[in-house]
Amino acid sequence: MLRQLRHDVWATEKLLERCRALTDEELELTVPGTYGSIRITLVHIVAAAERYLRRFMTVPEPLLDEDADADATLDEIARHIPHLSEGVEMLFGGGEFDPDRMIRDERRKRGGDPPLGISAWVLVNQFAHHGSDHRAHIGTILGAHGLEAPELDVWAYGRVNDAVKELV
Amino acid sequence: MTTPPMLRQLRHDVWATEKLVERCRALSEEQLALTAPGTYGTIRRTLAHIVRADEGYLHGFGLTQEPLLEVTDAVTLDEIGTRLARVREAVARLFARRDLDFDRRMRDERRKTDLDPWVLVTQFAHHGSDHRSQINTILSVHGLEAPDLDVWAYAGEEHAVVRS
Repeated sequence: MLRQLRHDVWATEKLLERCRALTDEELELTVPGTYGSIRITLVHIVAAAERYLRRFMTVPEPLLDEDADADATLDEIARHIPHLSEGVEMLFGGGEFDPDRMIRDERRKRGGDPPLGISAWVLVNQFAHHGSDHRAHIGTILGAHGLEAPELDVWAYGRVNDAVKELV
Repeated sequence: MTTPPMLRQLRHDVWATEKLVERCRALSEEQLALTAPGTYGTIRRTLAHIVRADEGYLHGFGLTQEPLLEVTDAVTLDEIGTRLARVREAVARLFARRDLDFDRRMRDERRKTDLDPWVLVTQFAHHGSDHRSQINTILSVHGLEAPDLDVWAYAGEEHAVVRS
């Protein structure tokens, strides 16, 4: 599971790097059926990942926020990436992660919503799924506008980490 | 007994693909042939691609047999659904193994590759989310309802999220 989350953070970081070559106009591109512009989708991926982690631990405030940071620069988004990589390592580092622990979440997006009890596995599984889901949106937007989409799958990550060796 | 979170991840993945296949049963043949720029291809071919890839990852563990599902314009949702049920069973068998070690280097003869097995299961989950997202984009682009396939929806069915 730790590998899954490491891959997720790596892929988002790589996508951010790819997007640094885009103009401001290109960062505002979107296509129907996706979350929104490339920029707001990047904000959403990182903001959501911080919210998943803050149910387990203290994440440096202020968290990235889709409303307050809708116009965030790529540098501003990237500054939150270490919160994710460090948080993921901390979560699994002690070897004591209990996937069945029920977490009480009182900090709801809408003030009046009642607290939620969430099994820990839901948060880590959603972390990984959510990133892949929305990076796919950005890949679709890039492809639809004739812009190169980076290789973000686990094969690419595995090669970088010496975990995949093609036989010659 | 605790269920490993990685097994949960793959169960969610198969559940989400099953749910998407069920949603697509309400589509016409013409709608199954819809696509959108920047995606893998038609809805039908993308569904087949997801399930064929799942079979391929599990083949690396010796849990599925060739021939893998063919990605064609003629493949039916019934064929995809039948293969997916086998994928679900194979995932259960994989995690039931007592000697399961995702860090022990293995040889994947079909891919002519040596790899760490964690790559296969991690890619399994990533790949499914990636391509289901594309199908939901295609559905939305064409004004068709896209199902809720995230882990929140899955957890609701598993009673793993409760209002307190």
